[in-house]
Amino acid sequence: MNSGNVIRRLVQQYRVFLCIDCGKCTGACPLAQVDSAFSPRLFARRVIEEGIDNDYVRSKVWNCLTCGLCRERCPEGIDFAQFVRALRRLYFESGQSGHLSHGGALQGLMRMQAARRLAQRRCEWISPDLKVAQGGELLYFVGCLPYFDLFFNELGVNMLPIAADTVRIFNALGITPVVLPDERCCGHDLYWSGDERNFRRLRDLNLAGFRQAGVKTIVTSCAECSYTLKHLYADPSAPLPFEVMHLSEFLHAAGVKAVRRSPLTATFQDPCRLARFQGICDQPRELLGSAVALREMRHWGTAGWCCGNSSWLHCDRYSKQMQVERLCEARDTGADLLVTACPKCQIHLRCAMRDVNRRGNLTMEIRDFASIMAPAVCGTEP
Amino acid sequence: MSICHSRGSILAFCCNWAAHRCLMALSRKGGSIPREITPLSVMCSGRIDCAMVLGAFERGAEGVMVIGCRDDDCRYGVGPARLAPRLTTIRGLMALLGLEDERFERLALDADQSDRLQERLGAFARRIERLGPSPFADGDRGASIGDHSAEARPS
Repeated sequence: MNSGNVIRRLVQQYRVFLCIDCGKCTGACPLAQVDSAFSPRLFARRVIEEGIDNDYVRSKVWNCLTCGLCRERCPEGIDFAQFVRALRRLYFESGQSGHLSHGGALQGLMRMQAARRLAQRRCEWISPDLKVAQGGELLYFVGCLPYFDLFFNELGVNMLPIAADTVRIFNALGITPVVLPDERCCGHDLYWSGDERNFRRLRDLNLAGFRQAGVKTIVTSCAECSYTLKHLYADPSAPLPFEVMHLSEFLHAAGVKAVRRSPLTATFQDPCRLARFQGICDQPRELLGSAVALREMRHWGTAGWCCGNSSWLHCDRYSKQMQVERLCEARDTGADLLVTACPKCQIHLRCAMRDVNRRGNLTMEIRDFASIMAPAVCGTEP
Repeated sequence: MSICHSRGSILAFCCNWAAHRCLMALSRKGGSIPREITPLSVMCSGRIDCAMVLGAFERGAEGVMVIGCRDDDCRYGVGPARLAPRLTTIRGLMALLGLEDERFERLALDADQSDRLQERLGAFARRIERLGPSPFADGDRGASIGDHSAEARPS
């Protein structure tokens, strides 16, 4: 499979040859902090020198978090995460993959959603007090929340209140959002783990659904969904007929402010797909700042540290160590709440809180951005 | 012998104790099980998780059975207790995907219940036939890792 031409083309496409060996990527990489064998700089060099048929590249390609912190630091702006993704696609299409967390069940659920005829029952969380529509201009893309809510039940994660709180915010603003009963997974994790074929199937099915509903704006409560719909669904030849926004972006653009302030303090975990991949750092902070007192962790904004895992690949002791350090940073702020805007950050950090060796020294109240903003915007009891 | 050579669209995870004994007793008696059922041995029904059952459906199974010992009869003590909460998750995820609940069955047996096993396997096969193909069984499903022989490689 190691066709030298393919690798050379990818090295050119992602401008990896511009690497000046400065090592800033490795110095910044959250994974390299805990796993000394992982080095983006060395990885790039070995791909250039030896191609991808060597054990180092073959194993490390799946360990990268694709969090994009290295691109922030790289003096040449090399998009290492996308380069890694392109290599993963080569491996995947020749039948190789990394270690899939949870036995591959989550990738399986995503691929199953790529089947054309599917009678999903994904809207049962919509209680009578929530107003949603089948057609209209603004669509709320729920994403995998119903699946995660069930799958991670044992972690005590409640994912569906995120969806309900998002609809509550819209309703309080006088908007009845469209929620599609046949919505599919956005495909983010399949794209990033190399399964581009099924990513495209999901994308095409979702785009057909959006077109049929006639939507003009799509708002997501998940950082990954908004990044995927905004940047990966767009085709250079045919621009998207709708605008995609993360909830924080939408509320900020609409000039929404909290009408009720909580006495609690909070710190914000920037999801990589929101802060670094979309440049959205200030909007959630301004909104949260109007609802609660905000304190920052040591690493925040585009320098924020990873929640330890992405695309349900290689959850290992290094993931755990990164999560533990992130939770320690959050607790050091002395805030009452840890707020995220990505359901996966919440799942990963909640899982790490259960570390038995730390005897509860990592626990902290963790909430989604939507769940902080809903009572603040609606003026209800939090 | 039909038990070993059956190939079909129903996967039956069989634990290595009660379920296996029943299957062996059935084969010694010259009994058969429906051709569409493929038995797959696992050490214990407590080994079964969401990924294994959903993975079977994803790869085209039209029905999945988990056959093991009764709760108080597990060789390892904890198998059925470990399985129980996963059954709830599996059924819930199937419902979300729109897969009929009847496509999945958990069967707990005593080691001497080969007749009951034969009867239940037959009933399950008839039920699946009545339900027809699953949304993932007609080739219009997401392919699994390593299942990309027909795909064009990037040039």
